[in-house]
Amino acid sequence: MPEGVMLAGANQITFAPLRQAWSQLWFQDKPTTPLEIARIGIGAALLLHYGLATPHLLTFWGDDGWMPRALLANEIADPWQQSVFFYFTAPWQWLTFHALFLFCCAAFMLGWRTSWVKWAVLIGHISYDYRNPVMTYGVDSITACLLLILCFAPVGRAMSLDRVREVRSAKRKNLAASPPAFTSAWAFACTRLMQIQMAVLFFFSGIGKLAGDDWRGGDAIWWLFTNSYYYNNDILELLAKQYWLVNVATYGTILIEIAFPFLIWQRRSRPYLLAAALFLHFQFAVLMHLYYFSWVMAMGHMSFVRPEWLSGLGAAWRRKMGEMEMIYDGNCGFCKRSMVWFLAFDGLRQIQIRDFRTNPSPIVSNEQMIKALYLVLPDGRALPGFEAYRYVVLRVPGLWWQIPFFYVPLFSRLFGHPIYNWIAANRSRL
Amino acid sequence: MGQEETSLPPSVHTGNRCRLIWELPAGRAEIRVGMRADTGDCTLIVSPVRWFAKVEGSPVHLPSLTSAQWRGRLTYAAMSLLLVWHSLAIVVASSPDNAITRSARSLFEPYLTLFRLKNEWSFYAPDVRVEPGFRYVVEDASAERHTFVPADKLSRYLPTDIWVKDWYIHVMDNPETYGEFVAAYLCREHASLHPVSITLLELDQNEFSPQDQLNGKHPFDPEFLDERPLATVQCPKA
Repeated sequence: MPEGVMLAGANQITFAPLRQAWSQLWFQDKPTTPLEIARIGIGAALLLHYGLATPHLLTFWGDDGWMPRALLANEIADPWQQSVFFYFTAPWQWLTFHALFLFCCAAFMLGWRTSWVKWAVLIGHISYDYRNPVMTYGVDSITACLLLILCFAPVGRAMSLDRVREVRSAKRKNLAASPPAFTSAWAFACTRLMQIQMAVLFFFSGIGKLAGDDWRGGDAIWWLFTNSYYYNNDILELLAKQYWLVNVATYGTILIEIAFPFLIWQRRSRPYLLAAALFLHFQFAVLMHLYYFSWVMAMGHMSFVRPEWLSGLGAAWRRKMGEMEMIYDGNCGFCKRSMVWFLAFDGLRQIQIRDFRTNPSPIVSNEQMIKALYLVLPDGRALPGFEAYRYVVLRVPGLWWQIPFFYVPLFSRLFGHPIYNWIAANRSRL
Repeated sequence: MGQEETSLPPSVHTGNRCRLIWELPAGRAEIRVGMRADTGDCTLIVSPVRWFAKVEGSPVHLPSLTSAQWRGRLTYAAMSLLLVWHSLAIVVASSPDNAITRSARSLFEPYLTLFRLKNEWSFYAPDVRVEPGFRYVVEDASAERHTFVPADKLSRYLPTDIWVKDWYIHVMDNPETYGEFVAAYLCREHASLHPVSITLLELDQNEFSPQDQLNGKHPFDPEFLDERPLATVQCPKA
């Protein structure tokens, strides 16, 4: 064997464990579900947050508002701090951009054309921040960090309208088709990146507190609630009477923040640390009214939720809801198209299908099937038409968005039955 | 021993460890792969590196790299670089200021700034700052004084609460830069009062102890507040 080949071979074998460890650390083939939860949560938070800012758009971010460009020069000196607003000259441009940004936030949350709207959301968020940096605080920073990671990640492959489109496309060719769930090594790498981001944030937040007398002395939480930002007389009264609660809360906060970056990685300790961090942020939301901040942080923590936990949760849900078989008319083009749409939202694959023309049901007769679609339940019950859909939308998470249409008291049944019956009677013409 | 190439698929053997095994003309080649601790399944880590194995103690090449594998290897390297770069960037951005982090920051600065990743994550640290309160007084043509407290109009359930408070705190921290501008803005906002001048005030909160609370006092009672005028600006005549 030539010496060079021998050396190269030996070199490869020597470094193989390192490469394997590196791949184990970053590149495991995993689904995107934890990132998708973060996407949905952050998208919803941004939509609400900036939506509520709409009446103040020109006051907060306009040239004639609280931060005219002449004053902005005091805050922004770095040419890398860029904002789309720097290039606007007329108010209609602010309004158009704001409307477009809100639309992108909604699309990001729903996972519609995610591969490009995620970048639009990131650019928009940074643009607002740099146009008036005085009004930004911690949550704006963490949102930008998480958004960038979501931009790197292949999000939109699950729990999204993009996934619905993919499944629908496959089912149009074959109604029984079921594209496999997306997994990728890069998705895991981006999940890991988000985990590191959260761990770094907690670590430096905890270390920073250790340097302060208020925190070391155990009094920080008292000062926090005497602050006009978070003042609450009832809480202050309770803390004054039971001052030990202040000490526990102060040291507890530091303990969680310092322990989190070290213990969150271990399989056994992760659930406890995750629960502690979520509990901490729940308290920030309830006691300090930091709803937006707490929500975004909770979404960042979703990166620590193992995909196996989520798939286990999905399987438990399927078991609890039981099997559902939808029987449809395979000779009816409209029925098949409707089924394609309906089934595309069934991410947990809870609904089985049967074409009574080729595979008659032992429970529902063909005469009954001519009149309406049927849903057969494990206990042998068969629900026709509107009642079938009504039963399903409550039990298939991907269809929950239809609940308002099917469960408005009185009105849903009052109008739902005649509408369904009319469609069923005229389905050959639709 | 020369280079051997094979397109034979390996067989997977599990026992107490996972192995991919090739039966080659020159002998038996095997590579250990990962085993999941919980399920015992064999897991092939995605690693588009060239396969090597030992055949009877000597290293040999297994299948040569195709162009697709080269692309895979380059992609893997690029992804790894990005991950290392980003991880280092977020650590450097948050690290305390010293000579090492300063020099590292100069490298990461454009990336951190462009994507708004520069953060110290010092929430309420090192100490909890008791934020001052802001109010202003409008003096009208009849010398009557009208006091306004912007925070009173805010709702804690809306994001405007923190935005507006942060804005006024920034004004109070930098009255020489923002005082005149804010006063002029408020002159316009209260034009209906025909203002003559606007006085900006900062209310610094003094220490409020648990005993004060138990004595029925309030952190915003006058005895715990020091009022400090920041600027008085004449409004332009209408």
